[in-house]
Amino acid sequence: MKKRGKIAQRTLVAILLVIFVLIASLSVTVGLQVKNALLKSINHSALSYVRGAAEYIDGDTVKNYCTTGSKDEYYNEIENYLNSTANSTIDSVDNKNISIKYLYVFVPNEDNYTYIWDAEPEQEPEEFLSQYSYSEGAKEQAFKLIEREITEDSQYYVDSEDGQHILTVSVPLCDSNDKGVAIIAADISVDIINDTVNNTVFSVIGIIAALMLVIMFVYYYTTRKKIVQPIIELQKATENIVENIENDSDLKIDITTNDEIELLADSIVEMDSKLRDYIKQNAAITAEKERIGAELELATRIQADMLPNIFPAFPERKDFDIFASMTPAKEVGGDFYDFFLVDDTHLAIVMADVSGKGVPAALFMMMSKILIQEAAMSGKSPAEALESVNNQICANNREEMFVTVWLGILDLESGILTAANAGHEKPIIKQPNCDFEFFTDRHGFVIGGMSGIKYKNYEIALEKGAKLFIYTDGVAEATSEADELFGIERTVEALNLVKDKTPEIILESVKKSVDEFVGNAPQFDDLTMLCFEYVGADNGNSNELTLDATLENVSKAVDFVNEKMDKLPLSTKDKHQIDISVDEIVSNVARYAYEGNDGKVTVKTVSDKSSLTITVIDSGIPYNPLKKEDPDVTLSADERGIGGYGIFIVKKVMDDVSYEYKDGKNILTMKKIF
Amino acid sequence: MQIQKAKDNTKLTVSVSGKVDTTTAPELEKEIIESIDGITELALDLKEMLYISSAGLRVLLKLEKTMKAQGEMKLINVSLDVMEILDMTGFSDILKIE
Repeated sequence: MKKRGKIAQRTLVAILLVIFVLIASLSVTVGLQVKNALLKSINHSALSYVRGAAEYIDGDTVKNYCTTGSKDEYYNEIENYLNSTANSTIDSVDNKNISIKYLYVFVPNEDNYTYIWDAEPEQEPEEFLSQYSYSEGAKEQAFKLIEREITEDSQYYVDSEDGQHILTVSVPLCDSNDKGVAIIAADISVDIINDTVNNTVFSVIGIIAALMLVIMFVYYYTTRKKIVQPIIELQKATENIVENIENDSDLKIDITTNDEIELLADSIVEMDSKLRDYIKQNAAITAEKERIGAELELATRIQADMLPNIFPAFPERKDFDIFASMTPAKEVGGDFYDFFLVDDTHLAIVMADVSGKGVPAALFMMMSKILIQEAAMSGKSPAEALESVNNQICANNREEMFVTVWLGILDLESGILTAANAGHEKPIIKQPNCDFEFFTDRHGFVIGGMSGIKYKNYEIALEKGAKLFIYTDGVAEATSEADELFGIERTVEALNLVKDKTPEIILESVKKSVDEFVGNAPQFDDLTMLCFEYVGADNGNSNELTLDATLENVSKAVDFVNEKMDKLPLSTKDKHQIDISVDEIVSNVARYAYEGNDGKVTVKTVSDKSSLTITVIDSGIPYNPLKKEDPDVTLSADERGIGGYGIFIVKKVMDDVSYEYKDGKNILTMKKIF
Repeated sequence: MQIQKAKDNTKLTVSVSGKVDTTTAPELEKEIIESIDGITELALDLKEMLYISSAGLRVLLKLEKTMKAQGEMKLINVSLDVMEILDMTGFSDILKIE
């Protein structure tokens, strides 16, 4: 909505209000002043007339009239005198004569007053000695005059009968003893002065109003020209700034008021010019930022592409499984992982964290990654590789950057992991049938810190099924909203929740645990993790033998298992117990499974680093030997039967025995843990 | 499995060495049963016995029952591993073991 200018109108209304109040108060004051002055003058003249009459009239005679009650010659003489006095002009206002309207003498009594003379030019005079009651307050004033407490009295009032404005002046009439006997009073109509007062007031108002009107218009005109117009001009100018901010034309404001508004206009012009400069600069900066942003994005992609990030990384290899992930905190991070086959039987694994963040860290990371790979591929041991990389980096490291590196090279045939650690986090390792645990390794100095540093190799024998978890400090130092660190213990706990899963699921689960812990807090550091599982080569550990299910073949089955056991770290007692078990199960199959018919029995062995599992399979009648009741071993020789001991012994000597019937086959599995 | 028998009047000492299992137990049974007539004291020397399966236990039980009728049977020099099986199955309670 467009707002309209109101400054001039508002000031005008304010001025009008002020003028109105001014005129009102002035007219009241002036009117009162003039009226008082006129009244005072008339009062003065009237008093002199009345005093003169009081001197003239003989008080003693007046006193007698009341007692005798009859007029005389003197009475008539005085009456004429009063009548002529009443007719005379006593004053003039604005050339209009003021005369006494009514001149009379009366004697005040206790309850009323008695007229002696009444000179009334326009009306019938009151009767001689006629009596009237006092109007309010008149009696007190009359007696004050008689008693000579006051020498004169003037009353100004409005006649209730005809609405005339009347001034009454009274003085006492005294006898020869100078004692008040009557009062002589004159009423004067002063309506004339009201007109005069009104005229005066109106002319004053007129003059002032005219003057104010002139001032008002002058003011209004000045306000519009000197304030409102320039302000509108400024408003248009600022609108113009906003609309034409992209154009090159400079702002011009034509204001020459020689006052603050002109200063403001100058400031706006200056502001406009600076704003244009600033916007030009800002546009350049924004363009530069966009360019850098695009380049950073590209850098992030290049960096991500440098790391092996397609999984499964070695789909043709069944002897190990590896998975890694990197979640950078900024666009480009300094963390990296790497893994590559040095030759057909050696896998190198790298986890590293470059000091600092952003582009410098990413550049340093690139260099470190390439140098480490180069050194490892040349056949150096991890320690030698780290030494060589350290010396190369230190030779040209003026920025004093460094990188912590864990480098391991695994012999995929033997499971021996040779590793060296340059100031990096400890690896977390899980051997089969165990939990993930820290491996406290020897830490060397960080790479890039000082040239000539020696690193030491250490070895870990990874058993088949072992897992390795390596990571950067972003995992343990992930911070929750309550400023609590995720920590090493939580990392291990998170790992053990999914310890038997694949590396991919393990990393997903750890990432999820970290994310849940962190909540909405920002990620400060890169989150980089790698999990490796050593499956081991398939070198004849799993084997099977199928025979006719006859008692003659039982020993062949036992011999077959014995052959497999030779390579395993089993005690003689363990071996004997396994022999007994195979003998019992296979002979049972031979005796009962096919109910006298021909049939086959298959013996399968699977071994890993810690156990041997033997499976005996037949296609005979479904029979779960584990459900057979154990023999009562407390019975005497006579009471004992001859059966049931075989499966009982198997259950006792093997670590785990299980049975399932599947696809028409009895499958009995026995496990011996070394 | 190898068997050596030493007879002294009515006393027969049988040394059993090796593995007594499904395959060898019938031979053991046959060897002893055919020499047991008139024997009142049968001693089985198990010093060299590697292990015994349930088939062997069955032979021991049969011999025990047979010998009870004509004298007695005892096991001597039982190795720890074999003893473990005998304990496990309660045979150590019903056989005389020296």
